Amino acid sequence: MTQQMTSRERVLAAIQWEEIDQLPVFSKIRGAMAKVISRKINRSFYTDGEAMADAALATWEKLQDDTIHLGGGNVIPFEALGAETIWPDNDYPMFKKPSITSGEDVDKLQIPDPAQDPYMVELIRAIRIVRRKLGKEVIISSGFHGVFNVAGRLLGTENLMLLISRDPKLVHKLCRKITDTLIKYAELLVAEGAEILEVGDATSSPACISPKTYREMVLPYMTETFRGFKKAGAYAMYHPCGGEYPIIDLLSSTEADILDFSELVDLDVAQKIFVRRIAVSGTVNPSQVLFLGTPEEVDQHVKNIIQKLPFKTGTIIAPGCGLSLNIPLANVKAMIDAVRKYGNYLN
Amino acid sequence: MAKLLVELSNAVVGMDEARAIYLAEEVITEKYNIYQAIEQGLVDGMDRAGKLFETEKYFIPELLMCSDVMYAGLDILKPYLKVNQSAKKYKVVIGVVEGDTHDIGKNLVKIMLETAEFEIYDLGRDVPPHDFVVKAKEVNAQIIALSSLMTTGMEKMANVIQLLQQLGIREKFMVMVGGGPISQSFADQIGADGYAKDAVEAVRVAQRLVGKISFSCQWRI
Repeated sequence: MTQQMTSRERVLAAIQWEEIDQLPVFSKIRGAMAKVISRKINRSFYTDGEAMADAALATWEKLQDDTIHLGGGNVIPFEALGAETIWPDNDYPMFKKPSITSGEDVDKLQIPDPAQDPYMVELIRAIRIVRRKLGKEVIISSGFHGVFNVAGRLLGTENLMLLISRDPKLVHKLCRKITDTLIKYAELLVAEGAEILEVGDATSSPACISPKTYREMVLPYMTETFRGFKKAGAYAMYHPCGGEYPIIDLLSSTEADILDFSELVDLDVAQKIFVRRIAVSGTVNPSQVLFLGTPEEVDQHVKNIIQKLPFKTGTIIAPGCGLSLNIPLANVKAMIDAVRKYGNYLN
Repeated sequence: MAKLLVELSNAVVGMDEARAIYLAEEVITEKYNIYQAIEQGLVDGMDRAGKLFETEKYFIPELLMCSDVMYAGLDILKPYLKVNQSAKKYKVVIGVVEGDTHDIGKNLVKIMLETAEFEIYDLGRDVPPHDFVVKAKEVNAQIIALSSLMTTGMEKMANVIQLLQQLGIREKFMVMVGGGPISQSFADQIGADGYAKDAVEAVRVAQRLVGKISFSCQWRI
């Protein structure tokens, strides 16, 4: 490759395993973007599309990574599905008690209309502002929690774990409704300009459930979710958050376009498994290195990941999980700078 | 009796609550040794379940189901138990630190520590640093166990230790930490006494911290 690509071209080519000028990098900065414009994370921020757009643009100006992520602040679509949230002073909402306690509650659950969800209304406003300001220069991504994460928030995670054996029908019924909800929300986001939709789902990872349970109770819904995303016109990015190796053989069945791994997976191994089939991303250690380390340590860590990669495409460098609000921005910048330095494939 | 102990243990590992209840009732009607039924039956089953969890045969749902069976058996047997008041029981104050409500890991640690006969004071989730210290002082705990799945929670873990230091009571308590983003090096960095990667290892760490390798059952006469 001799020509520099635009950020957008780079990401799309990497997803297709085509030649790229340099490795793309996603910051996964999430809600920490609010502090760049001196805002706190709370309900008022996530119901203020202009503030979200300002924060996302100001953060992107600083970091210059390869996507602008506008997400639902860990609240879409929970409230619309009936979850009671409590917002701390400056953090994501908490779910104090389960909103679904019986099969009847699941039966009564209505698939919400995303256009009426106050958080979605403002998220869409934010996407429109960013799209207007940047045109198609940078890809806009958005995303949700996956089917089991949402089910866990609505039922209580421990209860969900027990219901897997005690009342699998209830779990299936709920997963069905959550999947329909996620696809409906996705369709609206894509219509407004989101091009990559991420789904993170720790509750269905091998950190929580067995590969057998994953195959029977999660995989069908995950696959359907991603088919829905793709039918709407987005790339599907899947973060099966936590100890992914025991299910890595099942992940291609989800039909996701990008498999986004935690630091527990080796990105070079993931490349070898999914080469030319599915793009891979993630694995930069979010806690030991990005949270606790120095910019120099981040630089060396990213260098090490990139230098081990056998293929010079098909890959997006990113943290191994969404970053918390207290992440040192200097370390995130150091990750991006390191990718630009060690992942540059221009001749 | 020996056969019944094995069957009780098997009922726990096999997640068969009805069977465990039936067998526990048999222990009562046949006037078998209740201490043995708990220790070598129910607790043994939970220990085996813990080993299966550690080796990734069982996962969280299976471990929780096993613990429910163990507790169902205990509910039947415990009222018939003459508790040995003089037995020294180590106390653990446990909770998810402030700003975090992910409590399933903490609950698993609690179950496994209870199985290993620690006395647990569970403060729940989203617990301010001050509350850990107050409770530990109040109950004369040996261990404060802190859990967090978020990096924001990691700061709060450090705050608990700082608070103990400020109050001049750091040496009175062993502090152990765990959770998704936590590591041994982080534990060392904040001056925690122990770190465990999962609920089964947490028991070994807690036992090491209280200076005992093998525990005598508090239910043993």
